[in-house]
Order: sequence, then C-alpha cells, then structure tokens
Amino acid sequence: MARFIPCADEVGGLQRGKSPTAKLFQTFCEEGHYRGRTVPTGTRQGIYAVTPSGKLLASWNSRRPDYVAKQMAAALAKWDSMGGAERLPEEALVSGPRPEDHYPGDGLVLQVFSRDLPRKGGASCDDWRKDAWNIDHLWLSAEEARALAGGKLPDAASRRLVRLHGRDNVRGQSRTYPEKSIVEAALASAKTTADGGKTTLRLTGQGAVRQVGRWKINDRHDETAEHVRSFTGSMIGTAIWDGERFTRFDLAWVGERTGATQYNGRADDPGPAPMAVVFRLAPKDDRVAPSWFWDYGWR
Amino acid sequence: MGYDGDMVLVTLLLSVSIQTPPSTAPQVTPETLEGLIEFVVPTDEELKWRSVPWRPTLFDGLRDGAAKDKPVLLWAMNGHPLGST
Repeated sequence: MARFIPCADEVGGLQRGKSPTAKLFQTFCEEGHYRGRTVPTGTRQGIYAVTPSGKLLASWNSRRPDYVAKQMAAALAKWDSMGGAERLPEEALVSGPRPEDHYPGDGLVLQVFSRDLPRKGGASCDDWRKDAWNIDHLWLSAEEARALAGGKLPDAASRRLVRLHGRDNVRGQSRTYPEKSIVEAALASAKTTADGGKTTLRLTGQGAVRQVGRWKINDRHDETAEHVRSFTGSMIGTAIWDGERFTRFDLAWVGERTGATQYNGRADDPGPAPMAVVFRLAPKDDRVAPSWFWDYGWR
Repeated sequence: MGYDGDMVLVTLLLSVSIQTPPSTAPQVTPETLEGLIEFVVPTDEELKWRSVPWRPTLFDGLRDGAAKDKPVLLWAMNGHPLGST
C-alpha cells in the first residue's frame, strides 16, 4: 500500500461531473471492470489503480484479500514497466468545484455516527449487520454555530439536521427525508457553567420525521410499493463554547425507527426498533463533505 | 348538552396515550449520555481502515501522485467511502 497514493471519492460525481478530474475518471473507468455496463446499474464503483496521468493500471470491485493483493501487485508491475512520460500528466490537473470548497472552517464541523441500539429479544440477525454503523458529516456555518451557542439552532439548520440525519443509514445508503416529512425539529442550548471564557452548555432537542410514499425497499429484488418510514426521538448532549467556536460537542439523538428504503438493508428488519445518531467534533483533517451537501443550498 | 372543551381534550389525550405504543428507544439522561456515545461511536478497531492516509478526492490523489511519482489507488463508491456509503 505504501507504494500507492490512496484516495477516496464519490463515484456519482465523478461519473456525471464536468470537471477535468471527472472527465479523466470517465475515460479510465470505461477501460475498467464495469466498462460499458448498464444493467443492473450503470455504476462504476470500485477500486482503480491509475497513473497520475490517468492511465489505468488495474481495477476491481471485490473485497477478497487475496484477489485485491493480486490486483495491486499487477498494477505495480505495470507501473514499473512504464517510463516517466507515460506516468505523469503533461500539465497539472485543474480542480473543478467541489462540496469541500464550502468547508466551514470558522463554523462547526461534526462527524455523525449512526448505530442500532440493543433491543428486546436481541439483534435481528447474527452477521455483520448486528454490529453495523455508518458515518456522515454535518456542517454548520459560523452564524448557525454562534446561534446555537446563544440558545437555539436556527430553524432552517434544525430542519436540515433532522431531514438529512434522521434517515436510517446504519446498514447502508438511504436518501434524505423531504422537507414536508418533518414532524418536529428543534435543538437548543442552555448554559450550565462558565469558566473564564469557556461556557459549558447542555443541549436538548426533538427530532421526528415521517414519510409515506412509494418506493422500493429490497435493493433490486422488489417492485415499487406503498411504504412508510420514520424516525422519532429526543436529543441530549453537552458542549463547550469558547466565545468563538465549539471546542467540545457531544450530541446524541436517540429514538425509534421504522421502515426501509431501497439500499439500507432493512427489508427484513423494518422495526420499530431503537437507533441512535451521535454528533461529535470532526478531526481538523476530516474535510469530507456531508453526503447530501447539495441539499444544504450553500452557494 | 353543551360543548365541554376540557372533556374533549382529556378524552383526546387519553386516546392518544392509549393508542400510541411505547417507544422501543431508551431514555437517555445526562448521567447515561457518555456511555451511550461510547457505545455508538466506532471503536479504534472499527476505524482502523481510516488510518490509511486517504486523500479525500481523486483530484488530491492525482496531484500527490504526480508530485511523488507514485501510482494512485482510488476507492470510488456510491456515497463517499469516508462519508456515508
């Protein structure tokens, strides 16, 4: 692995984007493992070993260790056989617009973890799903963060939080809730202690979403039908505000989820069952954008 | 019989409380918050894959690959692999 520069990215943006980087991806992915594929989907997700000039060395979409090791070795052998002119781009690549361009360095950047909570009767299965968890990100602007420290997260931000993070993604991707599915969305703070310039805050809130509609719930194995999904719970947490920014932020949204969506692996486990979503300060080097950033409306 | 708003409200509330099943979710208090967060946040073992120095975009990978004359290993998924997949 040390011989590679590892990177990760969202494949949809690369497949559909118009930036020079996206265009380069669209070229080499059509030489890779899913080249030309349209059925069952047109996705080009997977692992790609490429030269910095965009020449494909190897590609695969497998997690089998022996196979992955073999593909990486093949990619390195091909790399070693190339000359410098073939490896490197003729001119430096230019980045296109990215969600990460909006990283709110002066605001609040949180990692968002979701996981099932223990339930009566034990877990619904005995495989990887019983320990499943997921990670996303929540960004608040400096204004929104300051408002929360002052007593209340603005309504638009509360609604964004509930709509984007009330979805059950513990076992896999799930789309956000539409605006009209919000039942309750509020997050407030109250001062508990003050020490010099640092104020300790108690966070409390409510979040509830419920959607009725027609969609699939079992990957590509079922037909579109009438379904309901929901998440209803309370928020509780603690935070420290130093007058400029949050230096600690621990918030838990604990509630009951119901329903399933196409790719979230709940067709056989629709609940109701307990789930928790935890929001914590992200490390400074974590600049990955919220997965539904384009729903933020930040321009 | 006249309109008795209070009675209607009491009846409605009783009806709601009887018809609403109890939530399966636990009550979290300030005293139990830390334990709950510890349960939900992934362990170091679960986060080990994030110790790989993944650049967060293909552009970053290609730029650094060119600077260091190294091949680039791109992990591209529906949903950012370092975010919500």
